[in-house]
Order: sequence, then structure tokens, then C-alpha cells
Amino acid sequence: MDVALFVTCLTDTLAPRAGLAVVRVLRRFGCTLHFPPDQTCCGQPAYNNGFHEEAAVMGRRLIDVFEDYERVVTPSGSCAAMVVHHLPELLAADPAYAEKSRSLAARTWEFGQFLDEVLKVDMSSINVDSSRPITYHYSCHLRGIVSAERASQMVSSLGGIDYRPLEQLNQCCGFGGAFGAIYPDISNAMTSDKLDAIQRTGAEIAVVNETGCTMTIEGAARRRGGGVKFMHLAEVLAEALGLMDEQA
Amino acid sequence: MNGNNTTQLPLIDDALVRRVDPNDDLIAVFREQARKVGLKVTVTSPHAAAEHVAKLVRTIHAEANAGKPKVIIEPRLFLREQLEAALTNDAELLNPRDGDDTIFSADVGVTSVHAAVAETGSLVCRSGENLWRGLSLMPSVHIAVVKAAQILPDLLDLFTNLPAANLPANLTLISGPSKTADIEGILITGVHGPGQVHVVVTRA
Amino acid sequence: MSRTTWFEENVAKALADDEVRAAIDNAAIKKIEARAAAVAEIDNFEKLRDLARDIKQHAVDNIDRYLQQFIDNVKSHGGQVHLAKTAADANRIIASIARDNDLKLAVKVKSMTTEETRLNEQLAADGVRAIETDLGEFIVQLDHDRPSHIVTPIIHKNRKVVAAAMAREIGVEYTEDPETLTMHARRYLRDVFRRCDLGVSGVNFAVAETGTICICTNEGNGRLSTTRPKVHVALMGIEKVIPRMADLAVFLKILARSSTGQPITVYTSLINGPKRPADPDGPEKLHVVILDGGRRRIQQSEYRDILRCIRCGACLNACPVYRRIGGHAYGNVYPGPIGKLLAPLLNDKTYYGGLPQASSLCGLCLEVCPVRINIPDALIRLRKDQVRDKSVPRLRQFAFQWMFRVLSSPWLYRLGQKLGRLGTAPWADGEWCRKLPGPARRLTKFRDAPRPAPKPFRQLWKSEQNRESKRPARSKITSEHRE
Repeated sequence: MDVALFVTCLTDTLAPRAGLAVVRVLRRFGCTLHFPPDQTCCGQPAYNNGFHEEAAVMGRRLIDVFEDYERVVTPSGSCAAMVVHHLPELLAADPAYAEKSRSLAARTWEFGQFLDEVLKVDMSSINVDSSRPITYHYSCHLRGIVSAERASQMVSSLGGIDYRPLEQLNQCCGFGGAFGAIYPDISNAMTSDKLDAIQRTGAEIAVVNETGCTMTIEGAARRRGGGVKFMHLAEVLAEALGLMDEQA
Repeated sequence: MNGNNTTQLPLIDDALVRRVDPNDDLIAVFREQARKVGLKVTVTSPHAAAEHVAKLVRTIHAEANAGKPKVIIEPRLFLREQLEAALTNDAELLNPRDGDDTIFSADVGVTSVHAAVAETGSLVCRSGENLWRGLSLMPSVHIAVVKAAQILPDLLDLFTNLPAANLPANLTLISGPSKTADIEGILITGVHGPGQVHVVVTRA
Repeated sequence: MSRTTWFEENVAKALADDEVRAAIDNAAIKKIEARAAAVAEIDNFEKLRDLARDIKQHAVDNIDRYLQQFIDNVKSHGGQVHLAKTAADANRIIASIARDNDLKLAVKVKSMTTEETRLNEQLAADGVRAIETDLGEFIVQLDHDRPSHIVTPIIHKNRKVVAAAMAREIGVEYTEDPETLTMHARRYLRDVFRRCDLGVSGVNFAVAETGTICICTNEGNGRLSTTRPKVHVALMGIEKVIPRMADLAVFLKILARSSTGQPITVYTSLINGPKRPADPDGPEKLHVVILDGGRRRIQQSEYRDILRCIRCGACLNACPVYRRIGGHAYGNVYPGPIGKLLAPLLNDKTYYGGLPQASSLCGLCLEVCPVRINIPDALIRLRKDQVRDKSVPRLRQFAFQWMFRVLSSPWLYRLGQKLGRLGTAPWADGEWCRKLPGPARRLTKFRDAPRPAPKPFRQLWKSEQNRESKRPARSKITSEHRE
């Protein structure tokens, strides 16, 4: 099965190990991976902040870059939501790209969604280290792509897992793109509560499948101390399958 | 995007909106839903109804302070004469026609209803000739007498069957004792309206 | 030197008040949990929401037709109707009704629309004493305060504050017991209900088909205020109109559940004109004042969908921002997510320019809105308007435009990654920065900022491809882990 990876600007730049884990896990499940090198950004930051012309420019680029691939997988739920829901709306009146945007939307998946709905991976057959309790944070923009119930179930059903449910797992971490920079005080109040909840679970590993969320919560955790490790689901799976022993 | 649009007025799909069916045990449903919202319901036969209301009044009086409870019985209530007889010695019966101060001073108001709704455990009271709004509102205890046949299954039944051309000036659904949680979210009953609402359902 | 706006000051003040913040947060969480339990009782709740959305959208789309039908029917019951273009007009009309009928003591049912127009101030100026009768609003009035939530006005106050206000203003003995405090209010207001001559209420739903005003309350003051006084004035925004009586069944099934988790409010009053000649009690006159107040402009714009709002307050309870900054910070009678839309759209967009960005677009509001208003989408539309109107702060505009330029070009993007890595080196603590300089300081105010990785993914990909091509044919687990 051919899969093109849309790694996203944040994961590419700030969390490349997660991207690597995605590649190795998908390969393990029989996919042939492609990485169109000219990819940059889906346009979400421009779209969310009202710069819709600029967002359309980035959106069209993305559509062009991934035009020839049957399947596109991305490790970010928010970028998936941008491609699946917002790009078609944004480009609906563009005669050259309206249909293409809908086509890309129909063949783009978020990583966990892809494992679940297309590869139909049985999470319980992947064994994780039971001695390290794990919790899961549901990222806001996965709404509309995968439900909180399903997403947390995918983590909680991992083989041998000591799963610690996160209170109010669907509460926003405070990132919100520019929001965190424009209203850092409100953002921090939200991040602080999220971190409190994570620490209360007693988990050693927090699965967070969104680089924006990770950098926000982990950045705050570094100020506070406490040793929770933040990982993308792909990294958890890759480690469990012994795929991360070698460096790239 | 401007001005008026000609989209169709959506149909109300009975199967989608209805939660209580006419074939359900309406008395049982009403009883359960009314209990949930804090109404105290008893079901009796029509013969026993007056005595039952009288007993309620005596019990309420016993739980409160000294002196006979001041009771106003809605003039049009079908039980009125029997009830007055049953309460002769146990209550001071007031006449609502004596004016506002009288109604304000009453401890108990006994009324009929226009209808009841099983789905929400609601009483439906209306204004009209010899039908005081105040009787179910000012006294701290309200006793409503409901005939089983008056119980409608669902809110849909109430709202789709009101006579558009002949609506009373006021129709009120009463779904519990007066309450508030404004202070620190703590539930308190009997704020301005009755703090106790009793329903006597007469089953033919 | 940065310029802080009134909104930023309010936010800072709100975040610093831990006690109030906790009170608001706890109240909001309780209501969201209550809502969840209440909606779980309805099998078809999601479809019911769709229907409610469609009915209200249709009503808003055809607002003139339904308003006219409503007006005609109110008049046929003997009610009088007044149209008010602005808030000041509405206040003037109501004040003149009081004057014409020689009314001196008004009892008020909780109404956000009357808060919006600041009716009480106008009445006071005209010598009409207006007393709030909803317990929460009564306390707000005693304490010379403003409500902080559209449904539960005093979630920012604890019992001590309430006790102090009541002892001070109505001379009762100081007590912190909520039950006793409530009984004090009941006694005080009962006396007012005896003597009042004007009752002012809002309207939850205005039924066009019959000219019915529907008012949903819990305490009984709504009924007393629309029964006792000889004149009842109902103030409503144009968007309160719904087509049919049957629609009430739909909305009543979802309003209270979304709002407080109750299946229905204690009292649902349906008012059809003033009392009939044979009615022994009830107001002699009914005046309905229909307010535009900027709603018509919204109805004619791309924001028409926000007029579907039925003022349940669920979005406030769900919002992580509201829960932390409370209702007063928004500087508007309508706070929370819906307030972030109504404030700029009903008032000065520039004054409220800071509101649309005060959201992480988390979408919890949309999750709970009974009429499915897409608030995050509307916030993005407002931001788009700000870009179009060139009202984005200059530094932010500059930063964004550069960011998008870089993100739109593969080579600039790759260069940006390298420069980002190098540029953060002076402030680095391993792979993170403790403190960034200048305007970027905000990013590290409360948390460390990540540095671009030494090797971005695209570089790792190249080595990964080399590794892959050198590897002998590997066993691929195709079926072992499949369901």
C-alpha cells in the first residue's frame, strides 16, 4: 500500500522523531512510504488567524504537492482537519482547485485514524512496557476526525498497558496557535490545569498526538519539574515494536 | 445572505421528537417524572380524592406551626364542596374573591389543572373565568387535582393541540416546586413560588 | 513598551483572583456534567439539535415574515407592540409607558436584553424604582454589580459576599446560611410584589403563529412579575421569534437540559395578551417592545447564523477561557463564546477587537450548542474581517506575513529551519529556550520554547531512505497485528 507522508511544519521542525516513528510503524504494517520533499505547511495558521488569501496559497501548494498520491497520512489531527474540512471550504469557489481540494480531503488520514480505519491494526496485539504507566490527552482539533472515545480506546487497549485515564481529557491544553502568544496568561492557566491533571494520573508517559500540544504542555512541564515523558502514539508503537533502536 | 430566504419550514417529525407514547402507562410515567422534578404525587380513586387532599392539608399543618392553615380552594374545582366539608374543622377556608391580600395570606392553594404532561411531570394551569393565577403561585403549598384523563403523553401533545384561536391569557407549565441555586449552586426551594407542590391524580 | 488594552487588564485581574476563578470554574464544570447527564436521557438528542438548528435558522432567514405575524397576533389578543431601533429607543419607550400609566414601582424578571439596554438606569432617571426579583439579579442589584453569566448571574460571588450585601442594603441580620438569605429575599420581595404596578420581563421565545410570549423561569418571580402588576412590559430582541407553537415542544426539550441539566425549567409561562375581562387576576395591559439594537445588521450579514442563539449559556460553561476569566472580563453583557461574537457585532468592532483572538478554537462551545452555532468558524470570520480591515496590530501583522511567506516557499522554509536552530542557540538550554528576547519574550513567559531540532525530519528521511535501501528484504508484519 502506497502512503505519502505529510509530516507537517511543526513535526518536521520540532518533533522529527515522531515523524520517523510514523514512517517506521507504517512500513512495519506493509506500507510503502513516500515523502514529497517540497511539502511545507497546510495553511492552518493563516486560516485560523483570518489570513485566508495566504491560507489558500498554502492550501493550493499542498494540493499540488500531494496530487499524485493515493493516500496521505499525517501525524497531526489539526492538519488533517484543515485538509479534510477547511481546505475544501476555503477553495470551494476556486474553479481550478475546488474539486482537487475535495479529492485530497477524501484521501487524507490522521495517523491513528489510518491505523484504525484503513490498516485495521489490533492495538491489543502490540505490547508496551507495563512498568511505565501511560495516559492520553485528546487534542481539540481531532474533533471531527476521530472521537475522544475512540482515540483514547486505541491507547487504552494496547497490550499490557498500565493505562491511567486523564480527567477531562478533552480539555484544551492552551496552545491554540497564536492564542498562546497573544494571551499567554489565559493559555498558561489552561496548560497548568492540563499538567496538573496529567501529573495526578501518576503516568510516566503522556501520549500526545499533536506537536503543538506537546510543545505547550512539555514546555510548561520543564518549568515545573516532574518527569513525565511526552510521546506521540507513533513513538510508543515504534518503541514497542523495537523499531526505534536504530538511529536514522 | 441578505434579507429573507425561502427555505422550507422544517417539519416536526413526531417519531424524532416524541419521547412518551400515548400507549405508555401515562399515570406511571407522569408519576415518575413528576417525582424527579420534586412534585409529590399520589393516585387515588375519585371518591377518596377529597379526603386525601384534606389529609394532605392536615399533615402539612401538623409539620408547620400552630394555628389552622389558611386554605383557598379554587371555586371551580370539582372536589370543592366535598373538600370544604372534610376540612371544616381543620382549616380556615378563605375566599379568593376577597382580594389580593387574602391570596397572599393563604398557606395552601388547591386548584384544578387544564392538563398535565407525563414526559416532563408537568402540571398545566390556565387563567380564565374564576381561575386565579395566584392560587398556584402565592401560597407556599400548592395542591393540584388532576384527573387521569387530563394527562397528556408528551410536550408535543400539549403544544400541537392548543387552540390557536382560543388561547387563555396565561397558560403555565409547573414542573416542580419553586427553586434556585444562585447562591454557590446550593439548591433551595420555595423562593417566590410554592415550595411544596402536591399532585393528587384521580383515576376513574 | 507594550500597550495593554482594557481587555488584557481585565484578564490579568480575573486570573489573579483565585477565589472567584475557582467559584466560576466549579459552577461551570457542575453545569457541564449536569448537561451531559440530561442529554444522555434523550435518545435522539443529536437529531433534535439538528431540528432545533434548522427551525431557528429558518426563522432567522425569514425574520420579517414571522415578526409581522407575531405582531399581528399579539395585537389580536389586546397586546400593544412597539418597535425599538436602538437600546436607547427601547428604554425611552418603556419609560414613557411607565409615565403614561403613572407607574412608580417596577418588578423585573431576569432579562439579558434589559441588561443590554441598561433599562434600570433609564427608569431610575425617570423616577421609577425598578427592583430585580430573580434572586441572583436581586443580589447583583444590591451589590451594585453586574451579572457574570447569562443564566446564573452570581457564580462569581460566595455566600459571605451575598450576606454582606443583604445585611448592608436591606438591613437583615448578617447570616451566611443560603436558606436564610433566600428567605430574607423572599420576604422583602413579597412586599414589593404586593405594591408593584409595573412588571418588566424578557422573552425566551416569541411564537409567531399565535402571538404567544414564552418565559422560562425557576423561582416564581417571573410569574409574579407578569401577574401582579397592572402593566406588563416584555422586551425582546428580534431574533426571539419562532414560527409555531409546536416548535416550543422542540426547544423546551433542549433548552433547560443544555443550560443547567434540568429536564425543563420549573415554570414555563405562555402569555397571550393582557388579562381577559373575566379573568380574576393578571395584568390589564401588555406591551411588547421589539428591539433591533444591531441585530438586523447581523441578520443581513454572513453572521446571521449566530442569531440562532437561545441564550442557554452552555457555551459559557464549556469554554476553557470563560471558566478562567469569568463574565466581567469581556466588558459586555454577553460574555463567553457567544459574547465574543455578539459584543463586536452588536457594538464597536474596534473596541472589542481583542475578543476574537481570545480563543484557542478548541470547539467545546460548538459541541454543546443546542442549535449548533459554529462559534469557532464565526471567530475565524471575525479575524478574517480584521485582516481585511487592516486592524490587526502592526507587529502581529508583520510577524504573520513573514511566517506565511516562509511557509509558502520550500527553500525559504528550509532556510528558516536552519536559521531558527542557529538563532535560538544563545538562549538554549539543550533543545529548549528558557527565555527568548524582544517580542518573542511572550512565548517564554510561562514555558520553555522548543528549539528547531538539529536535524529536521526531512533530513532524517534521507538517511532513513538510505538505511531502508541497504536493508535485506525484511519480514513485514502484514497479518500478525491486524484485527
